Amino acid sequence: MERRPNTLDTLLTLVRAALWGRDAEAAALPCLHDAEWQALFDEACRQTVAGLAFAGLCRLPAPKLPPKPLSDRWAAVAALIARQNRQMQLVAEEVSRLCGAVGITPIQFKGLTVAALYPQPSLRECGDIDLYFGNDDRLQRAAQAVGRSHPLSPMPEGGYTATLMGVKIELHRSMFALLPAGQQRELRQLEESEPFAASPCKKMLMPGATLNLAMLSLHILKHSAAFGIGLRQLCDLAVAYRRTLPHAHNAWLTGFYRRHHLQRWSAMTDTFLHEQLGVERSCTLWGDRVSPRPLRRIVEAGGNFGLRPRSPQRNEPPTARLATVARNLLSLWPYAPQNVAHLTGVLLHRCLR
Amino acid sequence: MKKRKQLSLQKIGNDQVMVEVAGHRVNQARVYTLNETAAWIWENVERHRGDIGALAQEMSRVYDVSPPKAQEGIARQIEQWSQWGLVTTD
Repeated sequence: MERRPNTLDTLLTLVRAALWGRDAEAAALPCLHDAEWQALFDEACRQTVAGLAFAGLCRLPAPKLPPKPLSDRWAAVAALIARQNRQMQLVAEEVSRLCGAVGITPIQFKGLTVAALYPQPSLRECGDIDLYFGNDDRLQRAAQAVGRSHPLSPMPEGGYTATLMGVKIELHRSMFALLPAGQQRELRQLEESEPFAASPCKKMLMPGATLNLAMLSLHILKHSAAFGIGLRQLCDLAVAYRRTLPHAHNAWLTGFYRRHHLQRWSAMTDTFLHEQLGVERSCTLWGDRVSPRPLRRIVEAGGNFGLRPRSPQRNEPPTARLATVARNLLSLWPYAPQNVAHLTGVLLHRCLR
Repeated sequence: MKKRKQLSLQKIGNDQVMVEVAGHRVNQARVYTLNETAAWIWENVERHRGDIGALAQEMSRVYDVSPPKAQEGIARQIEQWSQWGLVTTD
């Protein structure tokens, strides 16, 4: 019986073609059946890399392309993503204008700041706009400025959320929510010592290279250990490594990971980036291989933040999501014990509340 | 002659595809597939300040087609795009 390619492997091949121009590898893919193409498209959507995968698909030779109706649909999805990105840029400019009027420069993190590192930033799916202001006083003044024209809602861990022109913005109290106190303290010190960089969005700042890389990795860990993580967040880390690691304080990063028992986690994500997403070893932090299997299993099972749609036919019990969290926490325990213990405590507290 | 903003061509295999996104849903998008010459016209339609004759001259140098035939083809294509709202003629 013919062995067919794994859907996630094929998706990764398209993503590598889009990220690094690995056309030969994509061209070597076997011709897929219609059902395989459909599964690939669905998986790209679940992993929120449909735009990126489309860029990879456009690099395939004509005989390897999906059926015309599907490639048209994919093109439409990519165009929609690009339009949403334009909308997000407009919103980011509007927020920076509102904050600028009261003398505040927002610090933008994740989202558009990472998108700018991609070869085609407009094809990276953005969720919301995350903003930080340095301290509570500035947060309150920014919230007042935004709140004058847009209703604000409080967020559970402090800060506010609002919707501008259909785009959700989050005004955060901290960039390091849900991390153990010791890690937050060190990251806060780094925030104070490493200069902020200019954000791709006018009149905003973004974290420096070291802080940004640490935050992206810890963001992946936080979600992986809970409901799951999508390929998009790992692509974010991949492009950030490739583009910004030379500007980062590598010794600080390795020291931080060692001090907080995160070395195995960081080495595992490095191996994932190298083996699955095609980042050169020279562009990663650790040279040693730690099998990326646990992380890949979480990506495959969960999709973006574990939001893989459930089929009603599967008759999943309501406890299925809890079981997923328990499984993810357990599987990541050996890689990041401090963070897993902390997250377990936070999740239990939330359940009991 | 002006092209509608934010409509760009994307090469997929031998085709050039252009997507018009209307609402927030994929189902509301319209996808246009252009052959090579239609794609060339799209890329160059705003040049020569809408002078179709000049555009036809240029096209006849790129493709093996006489200027009158090129002009006829360009006019037909622009009329169709105009009906679809993809270009506006001044």
